[in-house]
Amino acid sequence: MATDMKRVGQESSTKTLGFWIYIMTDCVLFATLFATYAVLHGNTFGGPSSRQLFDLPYVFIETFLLLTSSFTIGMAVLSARAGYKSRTIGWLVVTFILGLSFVTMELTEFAHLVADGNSWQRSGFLSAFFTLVGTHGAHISVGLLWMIVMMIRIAKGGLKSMDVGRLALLGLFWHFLDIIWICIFTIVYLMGVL
Amino acid sequence: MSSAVRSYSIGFIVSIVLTAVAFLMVEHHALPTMGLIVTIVGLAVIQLAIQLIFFLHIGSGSGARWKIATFFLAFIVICIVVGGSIWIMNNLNYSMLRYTPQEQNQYLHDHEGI
Repeated sequence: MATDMKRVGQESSTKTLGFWIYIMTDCVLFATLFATYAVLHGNTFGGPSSRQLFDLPYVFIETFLLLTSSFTIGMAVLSARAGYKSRTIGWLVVTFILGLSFVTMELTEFAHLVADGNSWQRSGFLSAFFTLVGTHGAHISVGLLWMIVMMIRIAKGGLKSMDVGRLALLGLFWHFLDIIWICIFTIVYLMGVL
Repeated sequence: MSSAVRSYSIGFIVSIVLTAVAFLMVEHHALPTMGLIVTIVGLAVIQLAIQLIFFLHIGSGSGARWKIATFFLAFIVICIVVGGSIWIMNNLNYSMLRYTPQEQNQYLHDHEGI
């Protein structure tokens, strides 16, 4: 029994490390997109620059939503470890709503840009912008799908140790996306309007 | 309140404050542009460190040493990719400044075969 427990512990720490290495490679992916954006930022091809396009208070609300969701998913992981099933699902629902609001706001921003003729086809700057911010949004959307799966599994099967481990990995993923967004908020939006 | 909850709460509150400060400073243009850039990048770096420690728990738990090792490897790659790209492309822009776009195309065609 004791060796079984030890084996389970080792497996989960191997999985955490594996997932951590995936996150680090994803960091490198985002770094290439940031580098592309930094290089192409000035290439507006006669189109609007970042200063004319970005609505800072709107993006600040997005940032606030994502930051709060990073906190609430941490609470979900802690509740799951402590064995509170309904509290875990409650925190996950809150996180899901915050994440969904974030994606909705981002897509609304994209829709406005495209409707004004400022799509990714307008200039090198906008291509790089949509690629960088869109890749982050795609990650968030995948995280939301993962969250739905976790909510269903926990609601049906309870807090099995395997699901608690997976929820911890989802938490890791979500915190990582929050960190990437802080970089986007600072480099793309804050520095973009200066 | 358990220590884990406290850790998340500290990370959350500090992150919100740092983000709000950066946002308000830019919104009201509180400093000259160069000073603002340095300040908001500094605030972002502090916030990244805070989140790595309080949300991602980088230095604790089993396998912490391997997590830190892979983190530094990724960090080095990121510095090379981002720094190198900006450096090279700025140099290229600088070297090409004296030509019009047509002359640039002609130059690339004649000298580089592009």
